[in-house]
Amino acid sequence: MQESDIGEIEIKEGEDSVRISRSTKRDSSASVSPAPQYFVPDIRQTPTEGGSGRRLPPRTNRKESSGPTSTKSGLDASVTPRRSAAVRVPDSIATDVAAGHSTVTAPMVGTFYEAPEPDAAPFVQAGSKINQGDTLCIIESMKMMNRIVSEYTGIVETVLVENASGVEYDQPLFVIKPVS
Amino acid sequence: MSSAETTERLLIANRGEIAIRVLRACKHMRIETVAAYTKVDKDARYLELADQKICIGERDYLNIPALISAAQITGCTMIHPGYGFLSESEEFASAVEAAGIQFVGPTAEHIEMMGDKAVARETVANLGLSVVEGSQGEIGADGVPSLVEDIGLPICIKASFGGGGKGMRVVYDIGELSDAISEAQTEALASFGESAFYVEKYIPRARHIEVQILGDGVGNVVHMGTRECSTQRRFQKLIEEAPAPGIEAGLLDTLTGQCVKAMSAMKYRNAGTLEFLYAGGKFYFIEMNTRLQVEHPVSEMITGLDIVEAQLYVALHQRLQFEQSDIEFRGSAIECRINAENSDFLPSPGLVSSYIAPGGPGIRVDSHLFSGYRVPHQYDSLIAKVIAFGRDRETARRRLDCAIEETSIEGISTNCDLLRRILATSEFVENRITTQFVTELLHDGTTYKQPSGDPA
Repeated sequence: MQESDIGEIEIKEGEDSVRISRSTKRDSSASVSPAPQYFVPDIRQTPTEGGSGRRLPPRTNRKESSGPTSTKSGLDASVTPRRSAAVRVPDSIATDVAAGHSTVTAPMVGTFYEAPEPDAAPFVQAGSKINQGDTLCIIESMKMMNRIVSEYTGIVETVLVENASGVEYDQPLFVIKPVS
Repeated sequence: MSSAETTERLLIANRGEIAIRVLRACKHMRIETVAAYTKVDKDARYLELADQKICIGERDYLNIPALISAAQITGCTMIHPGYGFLSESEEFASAVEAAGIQFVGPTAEHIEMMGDKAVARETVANLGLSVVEGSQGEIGADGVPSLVEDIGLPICIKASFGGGGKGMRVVYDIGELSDAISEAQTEALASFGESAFYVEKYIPRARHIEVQILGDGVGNVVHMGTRECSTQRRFQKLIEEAPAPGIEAGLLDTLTGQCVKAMSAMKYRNAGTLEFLYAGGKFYFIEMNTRLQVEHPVSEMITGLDIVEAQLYVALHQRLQFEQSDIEFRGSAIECRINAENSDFLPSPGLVSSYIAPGGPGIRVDSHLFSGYRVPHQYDSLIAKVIAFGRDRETARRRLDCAIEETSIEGISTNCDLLRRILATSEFVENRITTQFVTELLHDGTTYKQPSGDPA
């Protein structure tokens, strides 16, 4: 996929569809100045920090018909988006990404799933060795399960997002130490 | 304020001045807000006024899955589309409703019906409104010459799914016909993905008059009066006012009455605008916009009502917030659209080094601008709307002129000089504006570089 420069592949089979997306990468070594502000917008601040009063309590949609429907993936259809789970990215992590680490960010808005099914082992965890092309996670957007694959071969340093939480576009998901 | 309103949460699927406008209405109605934004807009200050913000992509506000996912993961119960972007997309309206979220707008079916201008024309004609002479719905290129024999020249070729002047050609000479058709089709295909068109008799020196209506979706409809929007350049409105001046009250009453009746028969829901050409003492329907419009503030100023609040109220309660007898009309209001563009009408994006907004009695400013804001090149050039209210039209006009003079925007070019120049013309003062006026004022229709020493 990388060589072909294709960003996404979508496979449809009846009701189910799976889209495989290349994660957007942010290679910190290519960046002249670390710009933590750039990828630490409001949504990721922890509720306890600063007490900005801007965070909303979790809530559900008016109709509950909006869960994932893909039976193949087996993901829990009743998962309620939990705002409070929406990612802790301590500023220290964002800034520490400097030396030889890379951040994998969300290529789309959606719900982050660490595993193919609720009770299955996560695709990756801190310390996991990964190869380029390995699935890192799934992001569900409009009932579509999008597999996010790694651009890197290396080691997962940190998983920045809690399972089943909402992620916004460009939100950091993983810190990876590439091995060349 | 009913308790139901305190538990709602709304995604603002738009940007700029209309995002902040929607946000303000939500705030005073105690509806929580989530501002969708792109990376291009990440520094917009209105994002900080929302209860929460969520990044949906690099620059695209047309990404339906991203917007719906954003609404879902933030637990939104409603989506307001603003104007432009997805505000008149039946696909978006359907997708929002399918996700169990309330779309602040009409039904997808009505959006589709009115989005196809040829169908809209037939629909309202059947509901008793006059339309300009022309084709019965869409017409093929082969059929146009015989239509021209019937209705005469000039004619206007209009893309069925067009808007904003795109996919539109005026034909004065039969020799220009085939070129004009293919140009209009090419443009329409490129802009809207559809090349179908219809034909109308072109009325050269007409006025653009529109009616603001509001419906609850079950047949109750009120109107909020008329607006005059003839001050346009290339079909882009520059100055709008309410009420439409210099037209006999009886004629306007008949028009608004017809609009209410037609929209009531349709069971239209949401705010909407019916646009007409006015010439020779008659109104001819052109099209309907099934959304909030840029110029809605002038109607708010003369009625004291809040159209966005009224939209939200209908979405929440499936009934109107007020009856026709509650709507009182008072005074006159005029709006200027301040665009970030230079005197050649080219976009002028960049850093606004300093911005000072005008003020004073009757002045309202709807803008997302602030000193230090960088106007992005990716979106349209509207950066502020300055609206003046007065007990009469002349008071509003003078107040608006003072307000534009007061407005200070440094670092980028704006069309403020042109706006003041138009406001000062005898045509505007005496209300003799047609849709051709700005073009005639600019002589060659492209620039408005002022000759030195021009006092205007």
